[in-house]
Amino acid sequence: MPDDALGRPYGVPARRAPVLPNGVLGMLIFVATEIMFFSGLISAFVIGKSNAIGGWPPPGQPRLPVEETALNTAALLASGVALYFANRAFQRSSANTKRLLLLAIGLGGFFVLFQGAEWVALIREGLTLTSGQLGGFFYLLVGTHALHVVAGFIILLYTYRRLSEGNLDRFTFWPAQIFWYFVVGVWPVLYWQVYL
Amino acid sequence: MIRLARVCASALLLSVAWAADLAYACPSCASPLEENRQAFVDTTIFLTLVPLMMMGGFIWWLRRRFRAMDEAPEIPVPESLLRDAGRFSKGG
Repeated sequence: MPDDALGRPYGVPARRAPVLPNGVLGMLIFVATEIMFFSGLISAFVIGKSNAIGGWPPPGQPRLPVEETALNTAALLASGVALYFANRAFQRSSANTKRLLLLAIGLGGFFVLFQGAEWVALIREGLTLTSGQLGGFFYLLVGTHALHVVAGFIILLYTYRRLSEGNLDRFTFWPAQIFWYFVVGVWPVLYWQVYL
Repeated sequence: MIRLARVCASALLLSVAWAADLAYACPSCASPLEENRQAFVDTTIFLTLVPLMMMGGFIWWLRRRFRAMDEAPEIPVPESLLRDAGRFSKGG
């Protein structure tokens, strides 16, 4: 016989969807700290750049590959878009989820490989961590971002594995997406500040 | 007496704000380059606003979500649970 205020039997808990899953809240807090971390790095770079005597980039230093990196930027942005559509397909339980997630991972992998090739070329041209202010800032900012891309890439691979096994839930997929959107979103700011 | 000491301590702390120039905590402030000084001001504003915007955005989003949840109906309790609430059920 029902006996609580809502007419439910004693001992049956009230059920309500959580306002924010724990994983999502944790990832949001982490991303907030990361945004502040990158904001600090970018601010240091902006002040360092404005303090350079003789203009920026400093004379005698290699030029950064603006056009090639624009292509790479487009690949990373496309990866974010692919992940967005993968999530929409996931919500509809569509078979396209796997394909779109794989596309997002592939584009992220392309970004990492392309950037690796770019670094090899720049090091050959003489741009190293100790070659000057440009090299120091470049590898610090872009390198930190690259580390995040690799971490995000591993998280997406894990998500893909869970999806392939048929046990991916939105409480796992959502935090992974938040991290990847952060990685994708911070890159155009870095590109604008460092390359242009 | 304690209250007076607190007021004095607060006044002393506030007076430090007027003596900020003595601290030389800002390496860009004495720069001869106008662009450098401006960059310091701009990044200070940026670093002040970013966390405030993030917190404000999060609170705004939470409020929207709470409102949406209040309007949404509760998830119904499955019939199977209603029939048998276990050994602690008074009706059982």
